[in-house]
This record gives sequence, structure tokens and C-alpha cells, in this order.
Amino acid sequence: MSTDHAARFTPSATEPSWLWALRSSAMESFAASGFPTPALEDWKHARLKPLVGADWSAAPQALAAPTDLDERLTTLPACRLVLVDGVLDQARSSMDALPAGVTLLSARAAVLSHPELVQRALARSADHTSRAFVALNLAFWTDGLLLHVARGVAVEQPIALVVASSRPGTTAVRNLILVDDNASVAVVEHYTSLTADARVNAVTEAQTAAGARLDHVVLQDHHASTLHVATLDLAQHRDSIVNSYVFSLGGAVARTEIRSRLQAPGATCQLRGLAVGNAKQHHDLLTFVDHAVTNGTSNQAFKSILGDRSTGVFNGMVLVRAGADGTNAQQSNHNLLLSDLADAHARPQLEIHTDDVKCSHGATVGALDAEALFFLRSRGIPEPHAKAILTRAFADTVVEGLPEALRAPVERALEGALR
Amino acid sequence: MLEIKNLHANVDGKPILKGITLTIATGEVVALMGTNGSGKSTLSKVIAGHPDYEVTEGSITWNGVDMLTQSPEERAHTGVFLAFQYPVEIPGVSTANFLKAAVNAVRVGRGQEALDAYNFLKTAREKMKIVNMSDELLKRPLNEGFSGGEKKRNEVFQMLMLEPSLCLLDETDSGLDVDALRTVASGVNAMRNPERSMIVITHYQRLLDTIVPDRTLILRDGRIILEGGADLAKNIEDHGYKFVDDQLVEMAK
Repeated sequence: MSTDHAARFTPSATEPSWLWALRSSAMESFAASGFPTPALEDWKHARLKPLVGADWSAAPQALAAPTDLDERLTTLPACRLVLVDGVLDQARSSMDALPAGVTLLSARAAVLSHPELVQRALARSADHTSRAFVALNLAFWTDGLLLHVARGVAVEQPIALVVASSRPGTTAVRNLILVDDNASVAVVEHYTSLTADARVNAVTEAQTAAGARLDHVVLQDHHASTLHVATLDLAQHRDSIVNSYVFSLGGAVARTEIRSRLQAPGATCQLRGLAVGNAKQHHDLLTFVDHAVTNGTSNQAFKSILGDRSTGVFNGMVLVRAGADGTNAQQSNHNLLLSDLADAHARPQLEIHTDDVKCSHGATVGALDAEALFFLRSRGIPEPHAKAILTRAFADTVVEGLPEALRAPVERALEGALR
Repeated sequence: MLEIKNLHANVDGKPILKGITLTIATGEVVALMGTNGSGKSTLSKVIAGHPDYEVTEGSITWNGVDMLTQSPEERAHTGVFLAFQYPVEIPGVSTANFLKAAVNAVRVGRGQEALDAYNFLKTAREKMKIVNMSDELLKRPLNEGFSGGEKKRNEVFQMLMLEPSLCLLDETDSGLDVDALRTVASGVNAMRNPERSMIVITHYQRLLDTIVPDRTLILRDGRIILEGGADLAKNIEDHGYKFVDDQLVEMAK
């Protein structure tokens, strides 16, 4: 029996009516569309069954006090917002010491204190009318991060969002990032579960104004039973730069969507990602880069390392619309299979409606290079260590570009995932 | 002492080595020559334990120990080193990290203590000087973007670091200009001692001008067909493999 999400959807007395109207329209969208089916192009090869059967409703609750969370935060930037089960953990958060012009607070608090910023971002770049999980997120999100960087402000220290699940059930977070003209900031979102049977539905909406720069890292190292559905929606204005990284390391089913719309000329979007699969994990990544106007640059490079019986899916789409001349779009997907029972589905796609473009795409699926493995072993390095060296090297091209300050948490989680 | 008896080996089911019998004494340097496809590289890879090469008959023992039951890494620990004809490029692994892992795996395998970072670097810098390598190469990904000469020097550098007792040099002279050849050859020569055996695979005499072999063996169609001294290599350089044919005819008389 699947969950009746509409029945669990109840108005909050404390929320303003404009938010309630948005939530209601999202609920209506979900009621009309229902969960995705494998027939949908965007959900080809997805492991839908556990997702469709789950309860994605969420409600604010009392703050839990997990003791094993702090150890996981040690490598994260000091400036951070920590949510436990979708509730702000004030004691673990530290949002001061930011330069003037930076607004960082919980999205839930911002609804009341900075409604104009929330309304500028919320449901602006993430379309919920045709996407079930975005709609469910909009209907049920309890909190998230709101970050606004005013014109011209370069934020030196990176900002961390931690979304921790300490008990079974769904956490729904909505993160809103607004980087104004010529401003720059780096954000890492770390999703982690401290318990079995957690579910996370996360949506991040980010807008980069003219000449702005956003470095954005998503790291998830969930418990092996977690269902993780995450969406990053980017709206890029003139000459803005986004460097996005996704590290999908944990969970039973992890679905990540990254959608970028280059909506003014000269924008650059670089998307990088790495999935590491063990046991029966399923990592599913979908990208959609929309070159709507001229002279946009996009560069996607995604990799997966799949062991045991794990599976990886890459659905990568680049759309170059009519008139988007001078577009330069590249896309690659490389999959390393460490086991005969692991499986990768790669579907890089280009749809081009103009002539003056430079586009390329490619995908590979393969095992470790046998000659390289023999080379290392012939130098005395034992086979398991040699394999570990080569596997880590495969991941390196994704890790190496990370902003220096955001490397440590990724390295640490990666070490755990690659064992 | 290396003892190879009646060695047969296949690649992809195709017989390449067809009965090689060969003994190399401790401290001996043997040049192995022959035309392309004669089985020289295959022999070196079989000795080093490449998993794609299937030994169908015969034996290889090193100081009395059966090598064919050993993994490539175990062979390295017991002293085998193969300098690759085509050294592998490994992006994402720095030369320093790779070599430190190798040196310490070999040291531990030989019952020695692992080197700490300081002593590793100190030793590495000393050995790099011998082959005229800049220590800037330590930071770069292993062999990636290295010139042909740098790759071959890197092979000899690794050999210097791992201190093997059986060196297999597979065309370490190919693709080198005169200066690089001299550097590589003198690096190899510096390692020559009464405890260290070497098999030097080459097409050319010029490497053997520096590394003067104790013996020269000629391989053809997976068998050793002729054996001689250092002068045999010289004669092949001067007269080509026709010299070998003439010798064989002479011997048959």
C-alpha cells in the first residue's frame, strides 16, 4: 500500500499564506502526476520501486541529540548550518563571522525574517509541475539553507550545510542560494544518516547573477539503507560561473538530478561527479544542461566506481536551443567496474538546434587497466593495494579540481567509501 | 642463480616460447637478442609473472625457489625487476607516492623496515642524480607526459630504488638519443655487482658497449638458437642476423 501523501499534507499555523499557496500547488501537481514510471525518459534504468513505495511526507519535530554526529563534522568548514532530521541544530551551527553583505540563515527562519529573499528563490528555478520529488519537497520541506551574497562580495570562507538523519523517516530540505552580480561563494552540502531507514528529499535552487561565481559541492555518505533523492537546479545569468561537484557515496538508492539553465550569454557551467557503489547500491545521476542563449560553456565529467552488485546510471542531456550560437558543450561519463556483477548504464545525449556550436560527448565502461595493474604488482605492490591505488587514481580527476578548503571532507568520505 | 628448463608459454592460446632452457649465474650479465616476435619480451614478462602469459610446460627457479607459483609482487620481493619496454602511464598517481608504496612493499617483503618519508626522499634524490632526472618528476603523475627518455630513465631509477637481484631490461635502450642512452646505460652499469644478475634485451650493440655482457643469447621462434660471448652481439650489429644463419650453417657442418 503506498502512502497517501495528500492525507498527510496539513497546513501550518505559523507559515505565511504565500508559502501555503505554493505548497498547495505543489501538492496538486503531485496528485495529478503521481510518482514517475520507468516509461519516462528521465527515469530509464532507475530503481524506482523503493522510491515509489516510500513515505516522503515530513513534518517539523523535536530536535534529536545524536552523539555520533560531531565526529563526522570535523573536516567541514567552521561556518556551518546543521540540520538534524530537518530541524535546525543551533548548538552545532555557526553562522556568524561572515562579511557584510552575506545573509546566511535557516530557510525556515528566513520565511519570516527575509520573505523577499525566500520568494526571490523558492520555486523559481526548480520546476515542480512535472517532477514528483520536487513537488513533494515543496509540499513538505521543513527547513534548509538560505544564502544570499550581495553584489560584489567575495566570501572567502566556504559555507557548509549538514543534513543529518538521526532517526528513521523522511527529511525534506529546501536550500536557496542567491549569488548577486560579481559576488562569489563556495558551499558544501553534506548529507549523512546516522541510522537505518532514513529518507532524504533535498532540493537546492541556486541563481547566479551577472559575473557571479558559485562553487558547489554535494557530498552524501549515507547509511547503506538510506533512500536519497536530491536535485540541484541552477539558473545562470550573464558571464556567471558555476562549478558543481557531486559525490554520491552512500545510500541504498541515490538519485541526483542536476539541471542547469544558461539563460544569459557567456555563462559557464562545470559539472563534476563521482559515484562509488558497494554491495547492492544504486546510484542514479541525471543531468540536463540547457543552453538557451549564445556563448555558453558547459563541461560535464562524471565517473562511477562500481563494485560488488552495485549499479550506476548516467542520463546526461545537453540541449542547445535554436539561436544559442557559440555554445561549447562537453560531456563525458566514465565507469569503472570492479566486479563482474556490477553494472553501468551510460546515456550521454546531445540535442542541438543550431549550427555554430562545439559539442562533444563520450562514455566508457571498463575494468581496471590490466597493464597498469601488472606494472604496479611487478614493482612489489600487492594486488589489493595496487587495485586500490588505481581505483583512487580514477577518482582523482574529479577530486583534484575541488576548492582547497572543501577537499578534506570529500577525501575523508571517499576513503571510507573506497575502503 | 636463475634456472629455466624447457619453458613453453602461450599468449591468447598461441605458443610463443617453445622450449627455453637457460641458466644464469649470480652476478652474470646476459644479452638477449633476436628479431621482433622471437619471444624476447615474452620471456621477460613470463619471468616477471605477467598474468596474460600462460606457462604450459617447464619450470623457472630463482635461487632454488619455484617462481611459477609466485605472484608478480612476490617475485619482486624475492628480487625480480622488469624494466618495461613501454612503461605504463598512470594518471592520478604521483611518481613519489607510487615509488614509496613500491619501495616499502618490497622492503617489508624482504623483512626490512619501511622507509619514512624523510629517508625515502633522501634516497630517491640520490638515485635520481645517477640517471640525471630532475626531482620535479617525483611530483608528476607516473610517466604521464614524460618523454620517451624520461620514461626509460624512470625505469632505471625505479630499479636503483628497488635494488633487485635479477634485472630484466626489456629494450631499455629503444627510443633514446645518444645522451639519454649513455645515462641509462651507466645507470644500469652502476648496479652491476657479483650479487646481481641481469638479462639485457636489445636490438643494438650500442647499449652493450657500456654494459658489456658475459654472454650473448640469440632467440628465434621461441627457442635459444645460438650462444656466444660479447663479440656475438657485435657481429650481429655489423652483419645482421645473417651472421646467425651463417653460424648455424657452420655449426651444422
